[in-house]
This record gives sequence, C-alpha cells and structure tokens, in this order.
Amino acid sequence: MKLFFILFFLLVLSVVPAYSYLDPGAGSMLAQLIMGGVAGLVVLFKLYWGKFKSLFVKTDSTTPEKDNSSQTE
Amino acid sequence: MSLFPDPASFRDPKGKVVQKDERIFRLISEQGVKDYELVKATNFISRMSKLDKIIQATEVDPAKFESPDISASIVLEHPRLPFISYPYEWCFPMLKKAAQLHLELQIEALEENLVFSDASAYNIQFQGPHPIFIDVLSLKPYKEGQIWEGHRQFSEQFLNPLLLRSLLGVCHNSWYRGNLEGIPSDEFSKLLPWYKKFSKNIFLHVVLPVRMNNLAQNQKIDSLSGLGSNLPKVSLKNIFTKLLSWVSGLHPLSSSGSTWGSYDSMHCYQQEEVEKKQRFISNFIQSTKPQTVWDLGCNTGEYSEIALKSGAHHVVGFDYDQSSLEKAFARAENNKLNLLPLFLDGANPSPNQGWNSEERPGLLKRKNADAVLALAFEHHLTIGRNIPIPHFLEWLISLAPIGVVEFIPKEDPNLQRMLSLREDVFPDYTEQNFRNILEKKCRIIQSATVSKTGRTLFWYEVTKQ
Repeated sequence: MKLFFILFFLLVLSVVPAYSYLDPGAGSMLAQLIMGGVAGLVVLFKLYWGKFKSLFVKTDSTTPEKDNSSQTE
Repeated sequence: MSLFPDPASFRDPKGKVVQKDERIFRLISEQGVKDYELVKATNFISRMSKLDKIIQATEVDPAKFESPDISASIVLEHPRLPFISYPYEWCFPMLKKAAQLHLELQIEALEENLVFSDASAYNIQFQGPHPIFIDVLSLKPYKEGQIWEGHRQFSEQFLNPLLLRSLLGVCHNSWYRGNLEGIPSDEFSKLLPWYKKFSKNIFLHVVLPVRMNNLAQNQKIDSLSGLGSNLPKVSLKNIFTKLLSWVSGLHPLSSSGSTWGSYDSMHCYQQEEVEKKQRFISNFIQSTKPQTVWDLGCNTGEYSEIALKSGAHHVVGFDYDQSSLEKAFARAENNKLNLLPLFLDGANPSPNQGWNSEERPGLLKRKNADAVLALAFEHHLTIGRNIPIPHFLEWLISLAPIGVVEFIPKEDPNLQRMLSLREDVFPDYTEQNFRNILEKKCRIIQSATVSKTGRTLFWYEVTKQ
C-alpha cells in the first residue's frame, strides 16, 4: 500500500511535458525498477532529489545530452 | 547460386535471413556466434520448436554460402512459412495470442537463463491460427540484475494496441499501419480517461513509464547509467507472469456494432441456396486442386473451411469487418483449420512500407494464391467504393490464375440497401456487362445462379493478363 501511495503521489506530481532527450526506454527501465521494489525506491529517491536540487541550483539546460538532441527533435 | 536477402532482415548485426532456391536460411555473423552457441547449449530452441512455439532451425554447411559480400560462421535453415503477415493485418485475438506467446517464451527462457533482446511483434508469424516465433537470434544469455530491454517495445507493439480496443473499443489496425513501431505509450495515455489511469496494470505499464520518462529527461545521463542492472531476477519473472495474466484476460470492448458479424446467421440465402453455393465451391476446389487459396471477403470463414475440406492446403482469408475476422479466427482454432484470416480494405490494401519502402512488402508483393474466391465481395468495391467493374476484375485476376467470383445483382436486398441512401450512378452494373468484361481476359468454365435474387457465381480461368 505504501508503494501505491508513492506511485499515486508521483502521478500527480510529475506533470512535465515530454520532449525527451534520452532514449524513450529510460521511462520503461525506471518503471520496471519501481515494479521490482526496493532498488526502484532508491532510484526514485535519487531522481526526485535531483529534481529538488535543480530548483535551487541554476544549470544551463541546453548543455547536457546535447549529442542526442538532434536525433529526437 | 543466387541469394536473396530478406528486406526485413538488416538491423541485427548478429545475422540475416536470405532466400536461396525458395528455401530460407539464417546466416549468423561472427558477432552473433558466441550468443548463439550459449543459447544452443540450453536446447531451448529445439525444445520450443518441438512445441511449435519457435520455428525449427537446422544447422547446414556454411561453406555453401560463401561469397565476397557474405561471411557466415553458422548457417541455419528454417522451414518456409506459407504466408508472412503483419500485426496491422491481424485482428484482436491474433495480436493477443502473439503477445501471450511472447510472454510465455520470455518466462520459459528465463528458466534457462535466457532473455530476448527485443519484443518485436514482427518476430511472430502465424501458421493457420497458431503463432510461432521466428527470430532465433534475438535470444541471448540473461545477465544478473538486468531489466527487460523489450518492455517499451512490448507496450508499443502489443499492449497498447490491445488496450486501445479493450478499453476504448477502437481497432489497432489503421494506427499500427501508419506507425509500424506500434502505438507509443505517451500518445496512447493521452487518450485514456483519467479514472482508467488508476487501474493498477494500466498505471504500471502505461502511465508510469511515460511519467518516468518525463522525469528522466531532466536528469544527467550518468545519473541513470548502470541502473538497468538492478532488477532482481524474481522481479523480472514477476513482471512477465503478471503481464501475461493481465493480457490473457483482455477482451474487445463490446463488439456488437459489427456490420457483418452476424452475416453467417442472417444472410439472404435459403438453406438450399447455401448448399448450392457450397457445392459449387467444393467442386471448383476438387477439380482445380489449388494448394493456396485466397478468400476475399471471407466473413466468418465458412467458405474457407469448405475450400480446405475440399482439398486446399492453406487458405488466407481477408475481410474488412473485425467481428467477422474474430469469428473466422475462432473457427480456424476450434476446427483446427489451416486458415489465416487477415484484415484487408480491398480498396486500400497494405502498401510497401518501412525502410526503403521494402521492409514490409505490400499485400500484392506477397501474393501466393493458386486460386482466389471472391464471394459476396465484388459489390463492396464496385458499388460501395465506386471502383469500376473493369478495374475490379483487372485486380482480381492479377491475384491468381483461377478463381470464383460472385456477382450480386441490383435486385438483391443487400445491394438495394446500399443504394437506398445514395444516387445510383452505376447504369452499367448488370450481370451481362460483368460477364462480358470478365470474358475479355478469362474463360468462364462454369457459372450458376445460386439465389432467388439472382446472385451468380463465375468460375473463371485467366487466359490473357
């Protein structure tokens, strides 16, 4: 039940539009880790921590994953 | 010696499929040998091919395939399948059966410490109503902790198309044909009503991957690398088994709206007329002995079954109506018929498409019929779609050298219904005119009026192309 609460929370929280620079398989991988349990929760925490940090640290959003962008857009 | 590379087999560096003298061979490159040897040692392929779940693969002498542009370390021969079909030509239960086979194989393979490198629906083909997996090189050894690499592909190529019908009542075929990779989860999830997203399986396999993907896009790549090796094997197996049980319970959302699904029980023939028509078809098949028959407008497969029982070896049935196709597929399964019912809009058959417009050949490139049946079919194109009779017949006789075509006269109640809401712009639509046009390029061997309303069958043989 706890897991479901987290998942539900995630659903509501994560309303970012999708213009992916990463291979679209990344979402699938993360979803599987969450389905898989323990490891997934650690990953989830890391991701949200990264997101939380980015609220305070200004980064140039065009610099990372530059190489892949031309393939997807 | 001439080798013809299969136009769909070029992506995998581990090997490719070629045709030689009408036989099918898979040439395994040096890059593919290691994995293949490891897979072979488990006997998984031979065990599954005995159960008709994976295509047979027999090793043959690679020396016979040496040429300047081909280097094969190992060569496998596969039996030739009677007809190659694509997921955009399958009806719901076929796609579902293919999805079930894929998951069953994944579960069985994992027991042998093997996994599949992809989850392409194009790797499954049908022999009659039985799905069979054809790409033995997509098997490879399992690495501890690895995720299911094909999850996204499985969702796009199997799951989302099935859910489209199951949750929303929309058939997958047109969308799938437009996007050969299937139905992307991000687009599909936009169509789902919000309350459906809270269902556990939909959430886990459709909504969550999309959300996670959105989330991941803001992360640096190195924060994600290495994560794909953190899934316990038991969890991986769990994903497969739960997904299999979910997929096995999917059904089309209320299929009562079909036009022709009840045709079998309500069509406009009297019993004796039906028998007359059946005798005509049976006599045609017994006299001409075709191996492969195409049944255009096969409906629920009634006449396909008669063709098979009269000696035809294999029938590919085509219909536009999903409910009819589903019934034809059930007939093939229940009566153990070598019948492959496929979706076809006669006025717009599957085109050549994919890479270089040749990866997935169109219907006409795959034609293999010795004889064609076009029963209660002609009027759907000539009246329903305004295809002039000469154009229709030209197309029909290009499909096979012999056939039976049924002409439906304007007096027929079905045709009356079609014309009741539109202007009759078909002054030349008469049996005599139909016969005259047919006779320009064909010899009519036999004809018979099989209903009181004047429906007529023509058994023809093409004399001029």
